[in-house]
Amino acid sequence: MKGKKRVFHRRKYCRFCADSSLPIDYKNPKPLKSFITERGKIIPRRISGTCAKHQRALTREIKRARTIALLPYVGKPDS
Amino acid sequence: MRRYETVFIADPDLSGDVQAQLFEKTKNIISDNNGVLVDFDEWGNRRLAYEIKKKQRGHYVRLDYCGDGAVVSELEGTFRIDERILKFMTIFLQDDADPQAIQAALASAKEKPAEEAAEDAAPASGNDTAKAASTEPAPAEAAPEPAEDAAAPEKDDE
Repeated sequence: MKGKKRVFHRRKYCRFCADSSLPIDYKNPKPLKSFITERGKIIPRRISGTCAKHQRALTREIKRARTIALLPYVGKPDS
Repeated sequence: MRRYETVFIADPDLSGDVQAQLFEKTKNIISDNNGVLVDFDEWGNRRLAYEIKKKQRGHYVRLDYCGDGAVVSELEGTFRIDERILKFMTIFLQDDADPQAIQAALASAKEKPAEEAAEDAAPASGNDTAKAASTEPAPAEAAPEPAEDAAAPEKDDE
């Protein structure tokens, strides 16, 4: 029974630890976009796999980008 | 001295004269309050992620400067009053900053990206063709269905 329930899932890893050239900067919102949902919400760590340190930086920069209208507070589902 | 960074969004519909005057004014505010402007970075007109003052686009400018709290409060005070500024945001970057050292570092950094910038412009677009191909081979199964449809009405008549 234990074996049947198991579903395949890929190992999650922190993309910022793997690739140190990936910038976390509010002035460059393109890479940040992959860490927000279509609705503009920040994707939680348990889903994206980002480590605590980088998630903190990410959250800060996404919020800054929102303040200066580079990222939406509330995104439209199609965009 | 402390290093700050202010990004402000100016009205995109300003004429060149008014805009130049506005930028000159902000530069003067920094120098008048014993600040040193390290970098004046114009991003140009960009689409806003949300409407500000009924505007969809904005002219982004980034100021990188050194100074103390007086510069920031003076700058933000005038931005707040000024109708031509849609929005602004100041971020504290570094304590005990040395403007000369930063300027020298920026100057040396600018020489390198000049080569990279030319390469960035080229690689874009080209993902669309793969998606279109995958949807094509499907309607082959549609053929046998009409035969069943034709048989069904006869049963109803009985």
